Amino acid sequence: MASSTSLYEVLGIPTSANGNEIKAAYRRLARTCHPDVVSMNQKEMSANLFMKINAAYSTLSDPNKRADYDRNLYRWNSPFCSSATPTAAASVSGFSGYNSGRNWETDQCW
Amino acid sequence: MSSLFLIGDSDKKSSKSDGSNIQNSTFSKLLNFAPPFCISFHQFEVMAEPAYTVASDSETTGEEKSSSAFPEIAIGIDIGTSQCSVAIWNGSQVELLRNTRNQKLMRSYVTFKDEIPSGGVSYQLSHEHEMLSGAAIFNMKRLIGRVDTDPVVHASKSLPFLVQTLDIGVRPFIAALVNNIWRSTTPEEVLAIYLVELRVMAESRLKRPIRNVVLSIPVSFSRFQLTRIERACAMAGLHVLRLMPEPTAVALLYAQQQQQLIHDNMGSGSEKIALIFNMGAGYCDVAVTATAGGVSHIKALTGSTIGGEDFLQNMMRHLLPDYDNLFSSRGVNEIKSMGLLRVATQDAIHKLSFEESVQIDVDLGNGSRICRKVNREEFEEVNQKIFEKCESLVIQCLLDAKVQADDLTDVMVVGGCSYIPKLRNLVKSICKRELYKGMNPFEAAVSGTALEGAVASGISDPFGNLDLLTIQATPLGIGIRANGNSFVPIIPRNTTMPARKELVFTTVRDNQTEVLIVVYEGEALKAEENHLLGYFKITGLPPAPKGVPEINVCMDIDASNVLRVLAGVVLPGSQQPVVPVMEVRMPTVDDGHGWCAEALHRAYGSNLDLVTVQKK
Repeated sequence: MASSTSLYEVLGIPTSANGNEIKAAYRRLARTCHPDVVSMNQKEMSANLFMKINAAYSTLSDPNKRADYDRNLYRWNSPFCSSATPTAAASVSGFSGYNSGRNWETDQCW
Repeated sequence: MSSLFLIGDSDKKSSKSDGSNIQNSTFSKLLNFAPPFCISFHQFEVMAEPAYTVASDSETTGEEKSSSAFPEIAIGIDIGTSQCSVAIWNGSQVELLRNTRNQKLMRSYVTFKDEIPSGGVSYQLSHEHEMLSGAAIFNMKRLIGRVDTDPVVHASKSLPFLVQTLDIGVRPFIAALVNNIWRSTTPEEVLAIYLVELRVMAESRLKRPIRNVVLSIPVSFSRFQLTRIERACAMAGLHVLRLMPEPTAVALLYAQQQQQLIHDNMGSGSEKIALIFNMGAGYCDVAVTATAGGVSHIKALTGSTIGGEDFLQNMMRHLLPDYDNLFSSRGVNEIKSMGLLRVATQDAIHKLSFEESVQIDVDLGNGSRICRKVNREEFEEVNQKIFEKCESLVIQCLLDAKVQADDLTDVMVVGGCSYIPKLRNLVKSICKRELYKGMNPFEAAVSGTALEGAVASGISDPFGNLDLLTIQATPLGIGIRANGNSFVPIIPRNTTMPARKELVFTTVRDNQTEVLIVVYEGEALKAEENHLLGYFKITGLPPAPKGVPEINVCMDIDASNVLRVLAGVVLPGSQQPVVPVMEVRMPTVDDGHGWCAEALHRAYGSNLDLVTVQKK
């Protein structure tokens, strides 16, 4: 699931990436993943993906939020806490199992 | 049963309501009496008539992209309070379409003088005063989707046609004077008549039917107002591909221009931050965008219902302090005098953009005559408050975007008011920049909508001129009433779209079995000062002490800007909802239901209230 992927992985950049590289990665992903650029039948999936990309971007492009996130990332990656993962801004919402469409499966997400 | 297979109310899908209703009832009967047949019937129906499967009652936007092999390029329309224009991507660049009188910018009005109403696209006014005789309706963009308690509607009462209010939160009554009869109409109807003219004009220029459009809209428009714009488009036989906040359309044009500079090896590929200030006759909007590689990322948007119309009204009252008394009776002669003053004042304001002072000499025909000099300073003083508001919008937008004036690469002032020296100066001084010169201030917004029209129609350009993308932000916060009478935003404004956010609420009373979710859009702290989008109850909560049930309210704006509100209840220690989750497409309120919130409050008081829960 998404929660096991780091925000850096979401944007496809190294943890050492600078501000410009983060922006460039965000725009590059937007050009391929934004719902406006994908075909009709992929809109829902791409909306979910783009929200994830955007959440990663909004954390990593803000120096303070990124510092917080990096601290947590380091802590969770240390051998003592290997099972947990950082969630930060990209945390998966309670409705995430709900596939954002009009598909009458609403009650399955709880 | 009936709600599942409802075909869409006749209001919104009037063109096919007759046939489908008949089929609908047949369908229901079959389902009721012969269940085994229903599956095959359904399949048959889908194959025979795909248009029959309308997804939802409240659906006003259908398919996004044309599925045909030769995509039809959507046209871009800028419906201004004062002027309208139409543009299209002609295969190599944006082209504004001209009417038979060779105009690119057409006055926004519809006159009901003759049997068939006619608008400013086709009709030639014999004189400016003809528009002000009472027979013409204009400023529809200021009136559409507003209730009669709205201050903007009240300000419109000084227009030379009939705007009547009952001040109870219903749609205002508007009417045109035709042969001494007040003929009633609605802003949607007026706009639709106008849009039909634009469509006919575009079809005759392009020699093909026009269906898909991208429209620019003010930032401050509520989602309810957007449904009224869509309704007017549907009445005119147009399908809305996208409604674009005006400054974001300008931002897209800017993004394209920056891309072209790179292609011409004249620009750098680095990110550019631009501020767009757009003020027309009815609305003032500001946006901050970060642009690189053809992607326009909207950082912040803000807007207000102030514009040239307010400059004009302030000036008219300044020139004729007794204005409101004189024209309160609205007889034919008063309307005529009102029109004469309006034209003279408008002229003077236009001239004051280029001259230090102007001479006004107008005989109002009722014994009073205004003959005096007006200078620019006077104009600026009379409109001091409007200029202050403009300033605060620019400052707010920079703040929201977390951008300093020094970070800006370019600053644009566009729209009908863009030549007013004071406005240019105030934007320049806040942004510490000279203004961008690369775009025509009157054509920028419509050009942007034409670009979006081409992009959204799936058109590509061999030279990469359409490799464009706008990452939009929500112009207004969306939330619910909770913590007493407060507005609690769930999706704050300037959230990147598509968006999904949720908040947890809980009950305020022991054994509270029902909660009322009232959804608002806006920025005001008090719930009822925002735009009501809809409401619904969650019932059947199991008895529990107050503060125990977790009521999770989730809001989802999808890629087509459709808002859905989901609400579910869980008890601590359980992951399963105790009652089925509610899913509601908003807005659900219908025309003129400004009194709904008040009625809800009267009926339920605080019995079904909610409070926010701090997330652990």
